[in-house]
Amino acid sequence: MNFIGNITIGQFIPKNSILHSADSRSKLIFMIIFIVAIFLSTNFYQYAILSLVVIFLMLLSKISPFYYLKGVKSLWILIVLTAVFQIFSGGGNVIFDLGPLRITDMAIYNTVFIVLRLVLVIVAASLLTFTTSPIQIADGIEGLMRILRFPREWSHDFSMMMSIAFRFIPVLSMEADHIIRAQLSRGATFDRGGLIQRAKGMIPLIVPLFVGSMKMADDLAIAMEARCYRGYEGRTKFREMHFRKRDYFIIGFGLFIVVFILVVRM
Amino acid sequence: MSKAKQISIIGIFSALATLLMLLEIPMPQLVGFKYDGSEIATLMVGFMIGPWAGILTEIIKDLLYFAIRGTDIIGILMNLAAGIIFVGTASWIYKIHKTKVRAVFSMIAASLATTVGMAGLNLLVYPPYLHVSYIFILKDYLWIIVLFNLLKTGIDSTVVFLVYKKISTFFKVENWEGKKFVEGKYESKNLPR
Repeated sequence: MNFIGNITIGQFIPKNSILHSADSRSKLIFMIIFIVAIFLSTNFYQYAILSLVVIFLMLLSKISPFYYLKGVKSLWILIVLTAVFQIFSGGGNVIFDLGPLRITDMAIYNTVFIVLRLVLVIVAASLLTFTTSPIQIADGIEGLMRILRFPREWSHDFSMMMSIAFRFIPVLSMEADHIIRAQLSRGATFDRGGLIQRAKGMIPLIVPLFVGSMKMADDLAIAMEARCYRGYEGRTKFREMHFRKRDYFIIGFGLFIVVFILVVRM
Repeated sequence: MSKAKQISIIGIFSALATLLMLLEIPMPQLVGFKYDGSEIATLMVGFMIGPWAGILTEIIKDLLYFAIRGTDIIGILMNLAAGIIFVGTASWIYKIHKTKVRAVFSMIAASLATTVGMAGLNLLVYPPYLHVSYIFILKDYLWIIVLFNLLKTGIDSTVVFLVYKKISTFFKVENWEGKKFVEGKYESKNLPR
């Protein structure tokens, strides 16, 4: 019962492209700027520009569009529900009349608009997570905290916690797997009964899991102190991040898109 | 408590919370909503160490979830907001007086605060994001959100209430070999440099 596959890799698809080798900080900043641009845009011309940019970046990442479609597919319920709500929202001229169901041109316009917005947001997030491994994203967040002038101690502790968490997800998933098997062999049930029955069924799973992770945390703390862990002072990094020309170019490109969107809006 | 121990507890429990979040259970009664038990781990950290630790665990959990399965950014941000309201309120009230009655009271207050807060946030975020009218959300959608949040926080609170005492006794054991550890003497800041 291996319920989670390659979890530490996440959605990362290793390829040799410009987007893969770019600094994760610049990619994070670009994603934030791009999502702001999506929310700022209000008409189809702006969406056309954004879609072209997304297609260009998808080609640049050398990952087949099939993977992006998969990401969109995982949220199909949200997209379909929104589309259904939109199409009967009314307003404007009636195009299609079927008793109580009336579809107007405004409704179709709105539906296409919203679906496009959702898909763009999803693909923008996928562009980041496909080209950046989780560990790089964690490093990038620490770098962003450094750029935003958070106290040095905070950013160091935060990245330490994140890297510990990354390291321990596979360990804990294995432990959870063992505990589930052990409790099943003792006759526990997890997947039967109503919601309350299920919540009760989780207790024999949660208690050993939590106690085990508490013991792990204790051992880890002792190991860290035995090796004289004392925060950020005098620590060096194995993977150092460097801002290169292309990273400035990526951020500049993002800012250019936002300015362009705002100009087209006028 | 030493800083290394705080860091390792927050790190490992956020890993646990991410794992629980990845094991989400779809709710058949409410379309599109998924229950996940990740708030159990974060609330436990909030009770054991303090409100800030709980909120940090929540933030790290959502960042990791985004890095591993990042698609729906708005949904993850809403989950983050719900978790911060829930864990922050509960552990802040519990921090003042650590009794059983207080714990129950804090979790009820936190559930209500989360329900009200998420209803407000959904009203604030979704109409402009998905282009639906406020009246539609108020009339047809709000009760689903209220029901979902009450159910989710209710289950989390019940599980934490049933489990917390069993686990927090292990939290107080300073040394697993049974020796008493002198608090503060071996803290990293007091060690000779």
